[in-house]
Amino acid sequence: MSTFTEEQITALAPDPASLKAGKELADEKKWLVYAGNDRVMWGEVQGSGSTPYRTQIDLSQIAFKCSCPSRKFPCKHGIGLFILFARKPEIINRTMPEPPWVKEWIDKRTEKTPPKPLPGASSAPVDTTDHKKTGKQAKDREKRGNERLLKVQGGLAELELWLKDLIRTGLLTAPQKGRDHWQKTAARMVDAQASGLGNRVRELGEINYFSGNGWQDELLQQVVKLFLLIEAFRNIDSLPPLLQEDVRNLIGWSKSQKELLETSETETVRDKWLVLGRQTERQEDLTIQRDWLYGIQSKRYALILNFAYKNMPIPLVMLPGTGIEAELVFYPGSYPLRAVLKTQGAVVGNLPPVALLQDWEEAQNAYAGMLSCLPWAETIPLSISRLVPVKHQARWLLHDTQGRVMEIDKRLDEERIFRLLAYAGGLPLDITLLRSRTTVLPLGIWVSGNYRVI
Amino acid sequence: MDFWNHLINTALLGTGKQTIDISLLPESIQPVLTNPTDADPETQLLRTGALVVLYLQAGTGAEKLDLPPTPVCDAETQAYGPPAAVRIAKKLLHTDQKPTALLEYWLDKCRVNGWIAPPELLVDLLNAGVEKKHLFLQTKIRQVAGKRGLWLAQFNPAWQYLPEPDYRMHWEEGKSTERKEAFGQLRRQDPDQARTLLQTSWPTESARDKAELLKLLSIRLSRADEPLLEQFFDELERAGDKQKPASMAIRKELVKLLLRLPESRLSREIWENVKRYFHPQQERGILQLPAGEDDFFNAAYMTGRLALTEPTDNAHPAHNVQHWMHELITFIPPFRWTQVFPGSRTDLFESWFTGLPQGPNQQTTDPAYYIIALAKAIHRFSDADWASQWVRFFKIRYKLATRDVESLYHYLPQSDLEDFYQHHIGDEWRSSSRTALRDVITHDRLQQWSLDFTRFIMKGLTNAMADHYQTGEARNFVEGAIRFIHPAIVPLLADLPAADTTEWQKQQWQIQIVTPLTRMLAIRQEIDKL
Repeated sequence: MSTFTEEQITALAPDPASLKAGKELADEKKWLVYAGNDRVMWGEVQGSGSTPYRTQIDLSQIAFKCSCPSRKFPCKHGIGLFILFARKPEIINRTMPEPPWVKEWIDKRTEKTPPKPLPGASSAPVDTTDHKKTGKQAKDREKRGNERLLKVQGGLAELELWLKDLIRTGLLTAPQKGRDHWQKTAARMVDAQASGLGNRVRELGEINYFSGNGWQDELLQQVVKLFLLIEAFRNIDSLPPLLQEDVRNLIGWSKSQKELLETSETETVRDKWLVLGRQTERQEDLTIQRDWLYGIQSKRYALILNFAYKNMPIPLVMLPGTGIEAELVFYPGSYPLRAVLKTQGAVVGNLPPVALLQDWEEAQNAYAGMLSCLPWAETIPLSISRLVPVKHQARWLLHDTQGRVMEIDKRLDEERIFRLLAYAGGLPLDITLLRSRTTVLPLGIWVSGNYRVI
Repeated sequence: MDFWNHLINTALLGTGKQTIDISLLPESIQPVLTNPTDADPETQLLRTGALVVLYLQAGTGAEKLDLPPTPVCDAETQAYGPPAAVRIAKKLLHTDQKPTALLEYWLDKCRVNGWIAPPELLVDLLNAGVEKKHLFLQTKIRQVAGKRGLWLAQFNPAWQYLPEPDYRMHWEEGKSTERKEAFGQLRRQDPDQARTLLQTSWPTESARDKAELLKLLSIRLSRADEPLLEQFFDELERAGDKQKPASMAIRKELVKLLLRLPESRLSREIWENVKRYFHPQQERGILQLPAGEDDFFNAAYMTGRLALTEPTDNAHPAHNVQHWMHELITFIPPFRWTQVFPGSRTDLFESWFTGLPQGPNQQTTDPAYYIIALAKAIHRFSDADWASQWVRFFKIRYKLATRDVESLYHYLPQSDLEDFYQHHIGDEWRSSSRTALRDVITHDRLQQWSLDFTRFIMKGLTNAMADHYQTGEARNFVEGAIRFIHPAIVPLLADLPAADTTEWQKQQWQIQIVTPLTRMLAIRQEIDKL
């Protein structure tokens, strides 16, 4: 059985209330039955209904199923059973045969092994029997594509004019413009089917205009990069093919996971991946979850993005700090980071450490390399050796062996900085982090060759 | 960077008012810029800006800073707790309602085994000491935080409880309250050094502070303190300002301290006088007190020299005398009584039981006025042997339930206490003094209760389920007493409620007591196995 820590399981809880309730259920006395083996763990717990709830956890691919009516995922029973498993692996009855309701579920999940393709990952050949129908569909698609291109071109022209107006009249009045000013143009871009541009315009309105002198720099940087994107699209035919993909993607021609998995030309990497960390962000009704991964053999980083609307669960479950065997399909691009899971295998342990950069100079080269491929890229995951966390003039910094420093992103709360300090004790640490334009966000550290999520 | 600032300034003003000066662009990137000369000023700015932003982002890396050397924490000299201990600690620390008593138990276990908390626990552990209800854990957290914990504490103002304060500095430079706190700590750490410090500063202390500091001198009081106390007392006598309240407060504290030292002149002086009034063989009673003031029991001596208080009801001169005798008995070391009452201690108690007059409040039925004073003295001189015998003799006869009596329970050996508690105290469980009684059975000196005693206590708690307030109190008690509760009680818990207990109360018993107790005992047993 793989070893999971309570912290890792805690990270799966959809909200603090579920976590609290789950922890209370992590008590063997609350369970009528609890048992498990290498692939699955199951339990029966008395809920408010007349029959006990049946909870199951796929330990190979970390998935949950519970008969309770909760709409949260995983539910408190799943969390509770999993924590119980982490806390007291010794009490789990491993000799009990899987009951039919467990066997059926787990067999279904594993019967198509080697690794079960995820939804949308079908590799079945395209049905060509109805050529006539296919031809019409292709025609329709082309027509729709041309219509959209025209719309986007119109939107781009409008946006260019808007940006130039902004620059001609001056940015000084930007703080007084109010959120609606930016939202209106953003909505126009969405109407023009250029949602990527719309997002970038909306972000202009989200700059903190009242925090002192930082906004001028931030605003101009975003504006000129937006303009660069317009120019890039205008000259798209002269760009390398992968960069063309990037530009189209940034404008709003997003490729669905299904499309990506059905395309034969995609780059697929099968590897043991270490889940470096998770960022969860809430944008109005949308929850965005970013899982950062590192491939042990391929020595490359990957970003798995998942979205959920309102309280809908994010179905894919990976535990930060653990390793998984998986096949990742990367979105084509000049600096491919974003990927989707094609197949997910078992959880693996004892992964070797990542390749480390020596100092901030090497990190800067990597960052510049990313920008040279994709000028709009913002964040790069890196692992750097011998960084010391220090506080200097109310800023938390990481300084390298050469005396260079980068500021820790303010999104990292002080408690997690204290955890870094506790491990460091004033000495250097090997840190995996996300390097952005001016700051870094530590994801985890390497202690005696083992990765620990911060 | 200068050019970027130039771009920002131009963009802020607007190209309608100012245009960019391309000649300011760094030479190295000028060839890259493909800005047609006929481009409008806005395009020129936006296009140039994009180039410069990328140029700066790609080239401006980490800042070079001359930072002072990073303080490194000292190497640990103690071993980290084993993985099992860490696992338990995480369980205790990663809950919203931290089980305080178990956390304390875990800390004690670490301290006894000489373990310290590994880095991964430090933040949560130090945070635990900040919570209001956990303040008492701070000293214990300090003991297992190790050098790294101490080092880490410097970064968070909330963790400043961790480094032990510089009490010497607080004593020398602090405000009045800080100085007293520091003096108490210094006295605990090194009583001789603290005494020397007080001796040095004595002439400059205010009268009020003198009295307060003398109170603290009672910490680890010993014969070594006697000369200084005698000196202070003599100085007071010579000064002759007995009537001043501040001076009286000092005198009162000095008398208390000197009388706690059996070899002091004052203690012997009092005993020589007190014993004159006790006559074991007298048929009229063992204690013969004068009806009014005499050469010993007089206001000048009692309230002047000894700073004793007068009774609130002093209408009758005899009451004054009885009151002062009561007060003085509390200062007589118990062993002295054997000089007047030869024979066994039981004989002595028997004499007191049968031969003592009633106290000053004749209208009350309290017959144990002087016997309570004896209990106070036994506690004051921490005489375990006397305490044990006093409890067994007088408690049973008088059914006394006062704080002075409860204080003596602490001297009983655990098995005696459990036995005595079950037979003579248990029925007071629901009395107003239950908090004190609970303190008696959860005292630090005690080990795990026997199963019988655990059963007795838990059975008593079943009665609390009828009342919401008492239920909560019982649950808190169980949590606080977790280290004493015998784990073998678990299978017996369900059967403890009486047959006539209502279903609702049984449910309360299960939810409020049985379930949490079972869980806590399981964790405690894990800690025991470490």
